[in-house]
Amino acid sequence: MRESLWGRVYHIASPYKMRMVVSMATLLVLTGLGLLSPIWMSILIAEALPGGDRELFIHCILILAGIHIITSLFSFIYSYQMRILGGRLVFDLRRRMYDHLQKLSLGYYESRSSGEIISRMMNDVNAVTSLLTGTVLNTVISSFKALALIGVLFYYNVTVATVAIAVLPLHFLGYFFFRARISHLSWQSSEKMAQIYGKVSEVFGAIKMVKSHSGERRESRSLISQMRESYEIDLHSGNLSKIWGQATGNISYAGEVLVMLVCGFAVLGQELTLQKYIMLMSYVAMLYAPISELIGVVQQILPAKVGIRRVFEVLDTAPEVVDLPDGLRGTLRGDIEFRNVSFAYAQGDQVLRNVSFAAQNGEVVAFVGPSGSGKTTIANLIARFYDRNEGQILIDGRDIQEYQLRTLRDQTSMVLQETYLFRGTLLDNIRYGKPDATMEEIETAARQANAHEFICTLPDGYRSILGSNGTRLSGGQRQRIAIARALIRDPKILILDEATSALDTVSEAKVQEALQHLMKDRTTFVIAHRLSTIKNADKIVVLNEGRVEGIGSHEALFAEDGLYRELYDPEWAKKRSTLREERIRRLAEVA
Amino acid sequence: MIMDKRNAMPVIFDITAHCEPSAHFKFTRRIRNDFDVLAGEYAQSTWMLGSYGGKARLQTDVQGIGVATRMEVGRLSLRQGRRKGLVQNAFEFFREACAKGLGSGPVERILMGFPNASDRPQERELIRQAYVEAFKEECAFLSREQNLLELGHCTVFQSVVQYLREDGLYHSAHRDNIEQVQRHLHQEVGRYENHKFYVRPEKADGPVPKLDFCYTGDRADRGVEAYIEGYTEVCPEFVDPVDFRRDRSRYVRLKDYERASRRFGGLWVLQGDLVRFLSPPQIGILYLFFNEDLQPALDAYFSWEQLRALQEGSQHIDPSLRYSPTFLEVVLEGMTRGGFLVERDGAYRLSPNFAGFQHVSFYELGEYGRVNQ
Repeated sequence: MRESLWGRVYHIASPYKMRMVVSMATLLVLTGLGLLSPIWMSILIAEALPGGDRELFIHCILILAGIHIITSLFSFIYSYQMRILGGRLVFDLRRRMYDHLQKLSLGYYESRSSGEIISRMMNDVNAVTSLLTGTVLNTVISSFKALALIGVLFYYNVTVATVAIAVLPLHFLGYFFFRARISHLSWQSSEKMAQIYGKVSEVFGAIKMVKSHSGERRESRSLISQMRESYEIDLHSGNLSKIWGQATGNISYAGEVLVMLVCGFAVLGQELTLQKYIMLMSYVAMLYAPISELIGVVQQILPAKVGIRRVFEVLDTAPEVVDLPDGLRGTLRGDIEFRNVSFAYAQGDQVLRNVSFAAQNGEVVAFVGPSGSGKTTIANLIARFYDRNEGQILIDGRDIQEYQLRTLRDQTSMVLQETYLFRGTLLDNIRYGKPDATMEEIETAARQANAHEFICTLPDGYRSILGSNGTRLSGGQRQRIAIARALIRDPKILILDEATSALDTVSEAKVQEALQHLMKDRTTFVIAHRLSTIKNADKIVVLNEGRVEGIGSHEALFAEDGLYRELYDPEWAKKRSTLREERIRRLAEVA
Repeated sequence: MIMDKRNAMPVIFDITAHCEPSAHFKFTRRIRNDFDVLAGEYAQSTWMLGSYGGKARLQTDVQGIGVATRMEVGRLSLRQGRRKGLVQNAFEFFREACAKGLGSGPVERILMGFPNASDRPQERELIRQAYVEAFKEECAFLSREQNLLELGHCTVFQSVVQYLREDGLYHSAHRDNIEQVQRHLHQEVGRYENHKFYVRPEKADGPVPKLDFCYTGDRADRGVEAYIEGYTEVCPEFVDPVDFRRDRSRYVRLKDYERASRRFGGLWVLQGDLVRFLSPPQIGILYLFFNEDLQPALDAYFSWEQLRALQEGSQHIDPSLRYSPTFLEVVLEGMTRGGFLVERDGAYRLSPNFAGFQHVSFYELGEYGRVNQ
């Protein structure tokens, strides 16, 4: 059975049980010390000063000062423990979330903005930590303090104790009235904040496009509107919390006034001494303080609970691609076979339908077809970013799911149309493919990728820094760095997804030349629209709306007069389409 | 008279209407003011009325370039007797707010939150009645969480058992033709605007049902037939509108057939008045309760060990999940909570009502509107 929310929170905090126990013990000592002060204060005011007892007066002052010093010491110990506890919990939770997020499949990231994910990892984790470090301990201590004070009051005077606790039900009423409202607003506030993060990260990610479409003002207005809403939600939530706090204060004050009346009349009737009056009044004032604290704690718990739920939502998201713990390892040969593979993205239309083809080690297989025909989906399935719905994908005769993900991905490289280069040196970017690569290996990879020449012309060579203030590279140069990064891994399976489609002819020629090196002794899958890129492939798989329309060499497919020829012989395609239209029109007219 | 104690207590409803997003919507001061005025007109006194209990609030959600509005009538605390009227009032408010352009677009979906919503058929019935009276159409409930329902429409296809055996009127063998015709109709909208297209599935001797493509309209159009046949190699047959209306239940919209014949992406199941979604791994687990001839073992209990053994050998479960006891445990727990299975002393069986569960398609309100256009 799945643990309850609080059970899971306990599970997170359990490694720090001892530290929490120490903190709680410290708080208990602080509470005990707090209970001593009224006794000595009442003796000071009611006995030492009226009686002129100098010795008792100094005694009281020394004890009160001692209580203060010990209290300060324990307060420091308590806050020190809390800082450590809070820091470690934040660290643990963020690490756990980050590890989990890395395991989630592409589908998770494609359905959410990065800003939203960041918001959960940063803001919501903070909320969980503040709950565990401050709120939970405060709840325990405040409850203990309140119970202890009620006990003390009953010990000294039953009537006063009864009057003092008579107002407590009003606090519960307030709790029931405000709880759900504040909780709801907390959720809205977190959601809104996540949306704002998402919006900001999206706009900054696409800043070129925004500027080129003069969208700055529109985006700015959109963000301002969201921020205004966030402000209104927070204001509303803050107002409700304040009203609740004020109501709590007023209820407590009413209780104090009642006790003051009862005790005052008792003193006037000489049923109670002045010392006891002072002591009881101090205890009553102290009794309402932890109750107000408890109310405050509830106000903190509500948003924190929202944060916890949002954190667990991420941690509970199961990875769509599951890695077998005892999956196959070792070096792949690179023979790949698709047997009647069908695939649909979650809740979407079917993207691949009964796709079958085979590729042997050393072969170059090209996928061609109109946009949306499923070419990139095949690449995603080979890299196991997703799992197929039906059919089988075999690598070296074994199902792809039998291999450990790491084994598969360590021996697979992808070069995409959009090259992502990290901020850092060129050296580090190439080395990303193989962190332990030597300088010699890096240089060899760069030479094979036709990148060495231009790297050498840069002032800092391989140590040139990429990024906003560093070197700016052309599209072709970036692409060649990406190829070097793929090459350095010496992959058994290589996927080139529109790797050269954005380049000019000169750059493409250089990249193509680099790719020839890359394709040797490995199974290569090429996705491209340009005929020059695919013409020399050993096998061309023609895809249309998720189905395989034909497999063969360039010459064989061209001779078939099918979709392949339609794609690469526009004149012929136009003529055929006109003839077909004409035939159907004639048929319709006859009908 | 003995009163049901739970019904005597007030139930707190949170009703939210999400509008279709729009990149052009601006949440201006005028919209805020107009919305507040309208909300004031519709606000009614409710039990334990809070600072915004029962009164509508407007929020927006920005996702990319689109802004979607969300109208909330929260903390609607209702005793039995007044519930229907007040829920209906909220629905009418949503309708009017959208009609006045106060939302980003038409209502895309409505969510109703109240405690244990999935276990309270009486409350669902009154919501249904309120919806029917406000929007003049039927609605169905999708159980999104234990405490949250989504209102939408559902189309019933066949029994879940038929789906699992694939021996009903909906068969994946026809998908290619259906998709081809659908694509062509989408590409040539203007050419076919005076006609509506359906399929007529009928039982055949083999496992695959017979499927006829039909169209209806004012009159038969040979041109339409020739065009469709020319482009898709499927020749639709004209059905007279009178015959069509008389035998309406025999005809299925292309979109519905396409959805019903899917063997991927999960399964919508109607249990009484509640729709629940089963993901593909959950469907795989359902097959463990079927024998080799795909007959459901409706009365038999399966122990954990038996299920584990069946799981390891099942062709319906993904290879990466076949050996995971955690997966089995989580799915069994979820499906028991969802009313598909019954658990006794650690053994599981199919729900006694399983044979009556229907395979349906759930459409969100906005989606349903678009499909029916």
